Amino acid sequence: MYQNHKDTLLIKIGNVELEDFPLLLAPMEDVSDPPFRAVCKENGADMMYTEFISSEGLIRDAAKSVQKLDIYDYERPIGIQIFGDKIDSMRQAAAIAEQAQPEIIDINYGCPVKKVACKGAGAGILLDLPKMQEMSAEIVKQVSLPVTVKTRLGWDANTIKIVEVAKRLQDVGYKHCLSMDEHVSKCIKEWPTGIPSLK
Amino acid sequence: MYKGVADWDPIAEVKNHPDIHIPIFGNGDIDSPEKALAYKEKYGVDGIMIGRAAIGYPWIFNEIKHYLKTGEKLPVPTIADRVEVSKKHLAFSVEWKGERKGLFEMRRHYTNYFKGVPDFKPFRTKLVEIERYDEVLEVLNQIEDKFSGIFRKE
Repeated sequence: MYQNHKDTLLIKIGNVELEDFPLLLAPMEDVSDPPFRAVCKENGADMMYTEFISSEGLIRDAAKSVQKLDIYDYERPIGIQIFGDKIDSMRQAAAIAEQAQPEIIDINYGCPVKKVACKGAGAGILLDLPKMQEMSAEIVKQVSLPVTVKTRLGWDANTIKIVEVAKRLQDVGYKHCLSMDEHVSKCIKEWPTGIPSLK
Repeated sequence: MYKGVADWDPIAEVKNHPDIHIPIFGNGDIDSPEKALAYKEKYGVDGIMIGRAAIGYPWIFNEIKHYLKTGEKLPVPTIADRVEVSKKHLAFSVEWKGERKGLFEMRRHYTNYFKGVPDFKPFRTKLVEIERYDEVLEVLNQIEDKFSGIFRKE
């Protein structure tokens, strides 16, 4: 297709090089497992992510979480996505995920599901950006792999701070890239009582 | 359902911000090659992430790539293509999770694999009720025979 290497635009994430305008398979709970990833890879996905994996589950060595670390050579490059609300757990989980030898560690700062976001994990961390930055920094320090983040525009329509999120992540290290969901968190509307513990 | 922000403007704001240099990928609602091209051009992101649109339709990746390169659309997958890929997905699912769980967790994918097939409901019902791998394969074979004229390549 390209006449020489110079004509090929590359997207670089750390040492992972992707062809210009890569198409990524999103991490989807109960969907992005190895069987589904196999058919997506065969049909052109440039990079894929595992389902999100609980940091606490990985630390406890829970079978359900550990099984999600299964990756196969033909899937590369692949990212393992982790989520959690505790910085130290996330740091340890990143170390465990790194041992499974993916190309990338991805942090979930976007899940809006109540059981995740209400505890301050996933999109819940968007309510505490200094903590988000610290967690990201700890993970980047912990692993030698590139770290990426998947997030959403904001916690709700009134708190879209995505530029600040991006700047804070960029400050943490060169290895980042960001994938952003166009949606804001759905939580507020789904929980009429709000989320007092996070306010 | 919360409607929220309906477009990618804030994503483009990040991508085009003079102080932001990390790669930015957009995600959300890309479900066709045309939309992928339009969003690529309009928002300037470095790439896109596909989620829901790939469920039961993994062809979306190559369809988008082909369209971005040539401006032409690939023919839609035939029934034989759909049966072949769902069998492959199912076989791996059963191998990796065991028969019971593998069959069960595959159920959520069939509707999308056979989206657009008229009068598909009786087959779908069978696919989500049967509890034996060989019987599911038999239903998939029946689907291939019965609907072979649909999505035929030109």
